[in-house]
Amino acid sequence: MRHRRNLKRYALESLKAYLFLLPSLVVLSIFVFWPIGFSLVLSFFRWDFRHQRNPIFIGWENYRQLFEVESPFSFLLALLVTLSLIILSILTVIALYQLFRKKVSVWLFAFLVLFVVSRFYFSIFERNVYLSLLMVMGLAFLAWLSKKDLEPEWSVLKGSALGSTFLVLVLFLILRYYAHVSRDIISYLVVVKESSLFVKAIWNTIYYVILSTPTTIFLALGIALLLNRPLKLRAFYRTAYFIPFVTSVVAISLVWKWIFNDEFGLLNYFLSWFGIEKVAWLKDERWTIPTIAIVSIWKMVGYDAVIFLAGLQNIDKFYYEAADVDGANNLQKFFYITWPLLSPTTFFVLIVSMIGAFKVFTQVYVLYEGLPGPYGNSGLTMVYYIFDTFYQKQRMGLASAAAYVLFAIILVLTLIQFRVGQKRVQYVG
Amino acid sequence: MTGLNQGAKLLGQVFVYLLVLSGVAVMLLPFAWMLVTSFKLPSEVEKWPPQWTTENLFSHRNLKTVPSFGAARSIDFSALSFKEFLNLLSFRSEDSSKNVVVLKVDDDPVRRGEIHIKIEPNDVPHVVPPLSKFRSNFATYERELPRDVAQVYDNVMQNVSSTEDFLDRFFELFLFSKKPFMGRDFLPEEVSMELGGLKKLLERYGEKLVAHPSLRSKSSDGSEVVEAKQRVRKLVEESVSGLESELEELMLTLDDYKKGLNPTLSAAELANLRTELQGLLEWNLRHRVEKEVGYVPDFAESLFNFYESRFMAPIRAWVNLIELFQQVWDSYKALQKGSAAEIVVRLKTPEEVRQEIVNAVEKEVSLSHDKTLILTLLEVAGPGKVVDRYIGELNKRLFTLMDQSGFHGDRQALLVTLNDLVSNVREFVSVSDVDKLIGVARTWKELEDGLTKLLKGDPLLVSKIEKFKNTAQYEQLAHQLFLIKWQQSKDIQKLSKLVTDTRNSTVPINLPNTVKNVRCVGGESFEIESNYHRVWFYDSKFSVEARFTPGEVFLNFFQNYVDAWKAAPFGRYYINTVFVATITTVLEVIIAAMAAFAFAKLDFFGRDFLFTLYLATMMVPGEVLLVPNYITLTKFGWIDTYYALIVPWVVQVFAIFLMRQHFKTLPDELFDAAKIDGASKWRFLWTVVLPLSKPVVITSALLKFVGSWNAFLWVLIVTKSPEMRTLPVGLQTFSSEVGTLYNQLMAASTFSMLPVILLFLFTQRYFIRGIARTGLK
Repeated sequence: MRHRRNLKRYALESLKAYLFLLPSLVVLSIFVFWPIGFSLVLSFFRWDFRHQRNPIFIGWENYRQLFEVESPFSFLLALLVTLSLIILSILTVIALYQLFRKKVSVWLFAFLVLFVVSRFYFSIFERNVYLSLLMVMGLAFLAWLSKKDLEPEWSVLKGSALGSTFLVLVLFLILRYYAHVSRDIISYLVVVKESSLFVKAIWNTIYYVILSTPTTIFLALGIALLLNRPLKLRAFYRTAYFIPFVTSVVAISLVWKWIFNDEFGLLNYFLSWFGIEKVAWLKDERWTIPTIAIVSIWKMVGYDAVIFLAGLQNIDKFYYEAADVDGANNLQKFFYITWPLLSPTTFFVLIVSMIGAFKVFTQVYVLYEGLPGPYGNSGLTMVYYIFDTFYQKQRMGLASAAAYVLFAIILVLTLIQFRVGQKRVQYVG
Repeated sequence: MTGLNQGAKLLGQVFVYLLVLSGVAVMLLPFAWMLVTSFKLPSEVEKWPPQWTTENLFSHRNLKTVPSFGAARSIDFSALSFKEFLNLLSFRSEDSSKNVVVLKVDDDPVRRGEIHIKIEPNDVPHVVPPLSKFRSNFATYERELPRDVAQVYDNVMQNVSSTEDFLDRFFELFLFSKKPFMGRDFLPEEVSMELGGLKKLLERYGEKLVAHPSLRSKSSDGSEVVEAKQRVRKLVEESVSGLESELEELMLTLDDYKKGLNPTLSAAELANLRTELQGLLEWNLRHRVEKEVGYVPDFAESLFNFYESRFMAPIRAWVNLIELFQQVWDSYKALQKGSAAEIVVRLKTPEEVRQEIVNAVEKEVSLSHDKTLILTLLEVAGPGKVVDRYIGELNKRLFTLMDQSGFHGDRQALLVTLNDLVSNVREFVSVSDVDKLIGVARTWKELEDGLTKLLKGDPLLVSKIEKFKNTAQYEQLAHQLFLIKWQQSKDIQKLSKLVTDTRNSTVPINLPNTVKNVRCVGGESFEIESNYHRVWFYDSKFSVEARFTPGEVFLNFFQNYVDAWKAAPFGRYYINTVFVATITTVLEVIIAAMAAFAFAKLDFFGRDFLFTLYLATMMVPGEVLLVPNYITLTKFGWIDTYYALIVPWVVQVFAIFLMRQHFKTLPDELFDAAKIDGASKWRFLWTVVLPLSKPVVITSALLKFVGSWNAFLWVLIVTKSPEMRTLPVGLQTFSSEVGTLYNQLMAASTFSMLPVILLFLFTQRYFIRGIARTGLK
């Protein structure tokens, strides 16, 4: 087709092609392209039941209102304190790597001492922005200085990104607790979420994402590994794990609502076998997000497992045969072959699950009978906030702004996936 | 060594299977629990610990029932004023349900099957003695009852007309009223209060009794008298302290009578209490003196009288009360002879009920003018709703009449005032009087005057006539409306009675001679109409059992499904869901195939840019577009229409992507060959490309279908009326309506997810392929 490009024919073919594309283009234009722009415009207007006919342009006011919070300390301070916590965590991880390699340097001592005495200086430096800025700069300088001498450790850190991130996160939490940090971003959110519904929604959603996504992926990977073995009735097991995914969220949420029933529910009955008192799953603020997460994990685990299974079956058998020749055991095979070769799939599942988790709505709506949680907005998620602001409160502008924040978060996640995916795809489907 | 190795391997294998199977169990458990719950009887749902079985599968079921004997049962006699008594009594004497024993089902209602009611004992008297003869046996007890009790008793027993009436009232009072005399929360409490009062009295007067002036020796007394006085004083001292200590003792035991399951004290308890009270009467001073001294000295007569009236009489009154009850009960039992009997009836099937109503309507002369209408409504709405629908149709006629006579006000308001007036007239005036009046009255004026007279000028009722007349604007219209409505109200009552009677009736299979007929009201109570007064069944025990044929067991088993289906317009939801999902899927496949074909096989300006743009839309979550799309649809006027449910979802970029990838693998030679055959691109797509891409098409169609079937948030927002809802939204509204009826909720959940699960089970390899591809792109 390409060899002789006759202009007239090309134009004719273009015309035909656009005729073929016409229906999808029309629908996408009306229901995707236009609303993306329109929504953005809306988010800068006050458009509610009082200004039904005459929306007023208010600039960033909607966004400001979303994040309007009351806090005893500023966001900037929280950010700086968090930054210094993260840098210190990274430095400590570096020190740990060095310890692990039985190499000793003056940096090792410096980092460890910093870690140990952090208990005393954080309370001083987190008092105001300038002091904390000083701390960040000092720590950053230290990191920069050490980078020249500790090149191998830094590259290890970069090389095993997932493991290191995990380690840094764990250290971050330990450090936070150990140094009695009271003005980092987590403390900030804990204080602030009570004064802004939207921040509360973000908090709840992130809590939900953190709770559900890793658990789902971990379980799904386990299931996929099990199902990848030569088992009898494998298709049946796969079906059983997958069925929740195709059923309606409303129906399964109703079923789970019955299972979660605090007086007569099945879950409390099973727990009673282990001597656990009845838990008020649906009536206790603390259990709201975990409850929703349990339903979602149960629903999504089969879906993720099927993707993992496809990923596993895509790994060339040759690697395993070679490992067998080398006398590798199962654990080694997993850590040196399966896990690295599966990492694009894992990453894909992680991002897709996170995106899905950010959009959680129906479970909350059904489990709590059209309310965001039993009390105190404990089940208010971002989509619920959008739904509530738009549908119940009729504040189109504010809802659009909230939707755009959600969009931004999802876009960032997608772009990360896109970037990493392009870099790290190790095989072709 | 190898054996050990193999053992370890086997163990590992077993472990793997255990893991997989327990995972499968966790995944399927909610579904299993949903199914089990959906088959349960209402009372089995909220049970702790949860049960995995249901009695719904059994061919027989014991029904717990509570017998009740007449309307006044739950009345607290002690709280009624005298006037209320009289009202109540007059009401009771007119009571037409004298022969009816009602068994309330304190259990899950029964819808079908054979009902076996065992009456034990099924005893009725051969001859009932006349009231005066019967009652004379108890006159002595009746005369001396505790003061408050006596007042109530006398009031209730006024105008007793027969022995049965007497017994009826008597048992009502002693056993069945809200605070029965023989009740656990009445008798011990009252006796205890009485004894407490006596004890206080003794404490206050005890000393004074001993030091009573009549017992003081006077100078005029002879030695005999002095001695007698001393002995009497000693006896008084003994009696007072003895009575006091025994009172105390008895009061402690009285609390034991308050504990127990039955609301009334048992015969043994009553006998016991009576003996104990009689023990107190042993401290009768006069008797003791007579025994000890040999005669009753007259110097202490006033003391004896005081003691007798203050201390002995109240106790004796309570003994009397218990004895009265025991005597009446024994006589009542002595009158009856008989043994156990069993009633067997069958509940009618809906079809039988319908047929019988049809027959009854055909036969009913006074409904003949509306026969066809009623029969049609019956066909359409069923026996349960025919009366409501009939009323609706009749109202339509009234509206027509209003329109024809040039009425311009609020039709509904006029109807309401008319209904109010007619129902009041029906309540306070006899039907024949009104019929006579209507026959005579030629104009509204005459009618109004006649009615006013019949209503005895009651200002409230007369104001209703006035209000109706004013609302109707024209007198002639008012006259006509009243006449028609009057006739209608008679028709409605007739039809309503006819329908209710038929629906409540049962098919007798075996009736003992004491029983005339058994009605079953909504499966929630049985009314046993007897040939004898209900009082003769007061001492009977009723045990009810329902038996089902295999067919009926099947119907019972799926009862929750039927109930849930009828409780909400699920039929409509189903049609909507299937329609929307199908249309969306078909359109999606067509549109996606066209776009994919263009991207895969055509070379055109801006192809790569457009394709990237298409793919980029996959990043945009639908939730973000909620607000603007809603506004767009409002502008189109599509809210609450099928368009809103279908059109925004007919393009799915993922399907375009899937198909494009597949179309690209098809060789270009096919295209050239088709071109030589003279096929256009359009025909080539539908006749060659698509048939060759069946798996991809099926995959994307299935994903779309299931997604559309399960869609919730969007449907929730764009549908307002129940007629437009799809299953998920319908299910959610149903759940907020029924609340905790989990058996029906689970039934509804089951039938709303069943089609998708079946579809998945038969086509899962396409699903899995589609899902797996998402990870491999």
